[in-house]
Amino acid sequence: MYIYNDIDKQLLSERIAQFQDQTQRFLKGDLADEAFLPLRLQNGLYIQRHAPMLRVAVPYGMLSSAQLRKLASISRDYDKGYCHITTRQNIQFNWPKLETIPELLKELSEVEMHTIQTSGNCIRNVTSDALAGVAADEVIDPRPYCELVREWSTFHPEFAFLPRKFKIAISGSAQDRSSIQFHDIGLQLVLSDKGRGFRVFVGGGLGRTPVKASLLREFLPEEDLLSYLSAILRTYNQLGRRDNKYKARIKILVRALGVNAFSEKVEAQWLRIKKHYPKLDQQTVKLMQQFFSAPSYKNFNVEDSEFTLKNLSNNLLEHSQRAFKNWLARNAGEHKIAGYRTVTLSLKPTGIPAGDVTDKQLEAIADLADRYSFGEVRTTQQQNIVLADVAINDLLELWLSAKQYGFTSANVGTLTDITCCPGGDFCALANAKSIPIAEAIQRRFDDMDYVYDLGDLTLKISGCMNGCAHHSISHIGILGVDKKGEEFYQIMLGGSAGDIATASVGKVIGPSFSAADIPDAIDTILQVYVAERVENEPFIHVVNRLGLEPFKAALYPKKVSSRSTKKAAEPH
Amino acid sequence: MSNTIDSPTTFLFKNSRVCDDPWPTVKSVKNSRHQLVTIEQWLASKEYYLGSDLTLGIHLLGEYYIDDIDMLDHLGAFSLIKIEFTSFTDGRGFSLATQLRQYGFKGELRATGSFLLDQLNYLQRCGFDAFEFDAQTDVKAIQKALAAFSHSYQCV
Ligand code: HEM
Ligand code: SF4
Repeated sequence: MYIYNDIDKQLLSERIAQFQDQTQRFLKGDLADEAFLPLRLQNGLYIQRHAPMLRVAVPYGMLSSAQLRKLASISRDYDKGYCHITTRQNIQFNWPKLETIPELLKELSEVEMHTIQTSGNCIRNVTSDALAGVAADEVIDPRPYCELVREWSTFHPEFAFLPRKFKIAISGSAQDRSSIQFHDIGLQLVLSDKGRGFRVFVGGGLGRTPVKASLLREFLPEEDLLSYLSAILRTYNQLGRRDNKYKARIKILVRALGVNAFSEKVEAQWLRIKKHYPKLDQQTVKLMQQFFSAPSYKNFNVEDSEFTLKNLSNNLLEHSQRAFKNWLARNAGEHKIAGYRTVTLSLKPTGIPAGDVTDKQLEAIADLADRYSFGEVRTTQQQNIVLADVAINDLLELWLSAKQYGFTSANVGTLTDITCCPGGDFCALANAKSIPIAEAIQRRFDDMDYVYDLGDLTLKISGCMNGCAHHSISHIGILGVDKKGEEFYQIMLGGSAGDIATASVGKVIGPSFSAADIPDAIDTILQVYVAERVENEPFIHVVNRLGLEPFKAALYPKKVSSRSTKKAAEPH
Repeated sequence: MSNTIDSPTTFLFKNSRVCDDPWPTVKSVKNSRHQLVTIEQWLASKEYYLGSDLTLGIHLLGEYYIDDIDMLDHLGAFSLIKIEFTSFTDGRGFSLATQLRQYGFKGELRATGSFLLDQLNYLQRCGFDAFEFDAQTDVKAIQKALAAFSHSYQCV
């Protein structure tokens, strides 16, 4: 994990001093509202429905146990005893008091954490693969590059007042677990005969106009990363629209110019300026890689581990054995080192808002990390927590301890592992509540055998078209809409992001539903899937193969029949 | 932080201190060899200005996209480039300044118009070395804001 050096520490304390001064000037009336706004946003501070909301950066999702314990004590001392994991791997506090925020920031800085650039029209916290460094399908570990980009983008003097927010994600594996094509810039690390480099995607995004990114460059040599990013950002900073905030993201610029014309501008700028930027030389990359070196894994024999894995639960009672095996199947994953597994702690037990964790739970996660996973965890885009390096030998013990804290819902990657934004309960921009919808769906589908039989499925719920829960790249997406002052929900099918080639934005299936009708509608969709699938065909394949029609026909039968009765009635 | 180009109620801060300003604005005429031109004037009479023995400055709006400006080949002709920010949330001037420095401009790069004290450190790191402020601006606050950060992650 990256450890701050003296310069990092000094810059952070200077930033806290700067923001404290700005807050004081604001409270004294020396700094106008409009002037304070972008300054507080660049320090992660929103004013929300009930209270200020503070967003803490978790760079590329990595947290140490010491950081978890600090987040726990902050939740207790400054908030209502819990915090929230976002879909961008960050942490949010929903109830801090404005006047306590400088103190809170100081406490965060004690564990090398901050809220810098988690909001505002600047380069946001870089996101990445929650399984970085351990995934069996990884080509290159993205974390050293994430950290290099984090440093490059932090306090970047040229790019702090962009037309709109700017999000960068980096992935280094075959499967894309970071949705890089739905970011302003998505970088895919690749190994070619020219060495390490990046496939560069640009102009992806969610929000009210979800767009899959365009390929800007098939291969960017590793050493040119920062100069090339500068050329893209500069082109966007100068040409992106500023007259309408809904049209200000880079996706709109790329679409307006066409990716080829955009690329010409970037390449021309890059050729002119690249000599002014230091190259990422091997030495720099190597130094950074050392921060993310493998922990001291034990040597396990593959066959022994397989044997252990099979027999771990022999001494449990039958129903516990079953629960443990389900958990292994859903919440534990392949690891590139023999004898290890990645383990996802589910933060989605029925009835708890997705991603919410209490102070006690944060402390428990820290203990589990210390005991079983080298003292580190990762936050995921699906609002869960990953212990990345668990020895197979420890799995049973881990399961037994994690159970006490409610982390063992064996639903990872299934229908009930719902991603959900704060919605109308917290967010001032919401059209509708989202948390109660998630709960209603979880309650309706409480038969886990049925849920397992449905297989891999993503369901995401956003309370408005800003799409904080990524509903438009979800197999089933639910979007809160406002219909004459009433809360309604639109359903989308067919979104996906895990595969670079086939990633796609979901399509709206038809007229929206009331909250009460949503569980039935989901049930209908699932029944169509079960009836139409061939053997183990996953949900998303069936949707892609059949299109929306069969689902529509099942969801809106009355409309069709009422129209036909009307027609039939007319001649009389 | 002055709002109008012509305002006599501003002062110039350069090289860490308040300075006399030898330059006229684009609208005023000072009795000196310094002349500040707009981009339109420059484009219309480039040959005349290049042939004259005036000390030249040019006044640009932050939103100018530099690839449109036919002056890159003549950056050496200017002793001053003044960039006017029309709104402090519009960051285009930050890129314009960085670019001018990268393209080799060595003269005075001055910020005017709508920018915040809180942006001074970044403006300076983008290459600005002179700033116009409202007369009532506190000089100590300027110095403090310029020194907000002791290091930077960016070499450029
Ligand atoms: C409660 C305060 C929040 C506010 C006011 C807020 C506001 C917004 C807005 C306005 C957008 C659309 C931006 C655009 O398209 O230009 C957006 C997008 C997004 N937000 Fe939030 N959000 C909040 C909370 C969250 C939370 C809790 C999460 C995670 C669960 C989140 C994650 C995201 C993501 C991933 C996107 C879409 C990706 C993209 O920018 O293309 N936000 N948010
Ligand atoms: S999707 Fe809308 S309702 Fe949900 S958090 Fe984002 S802005 Fe708020």
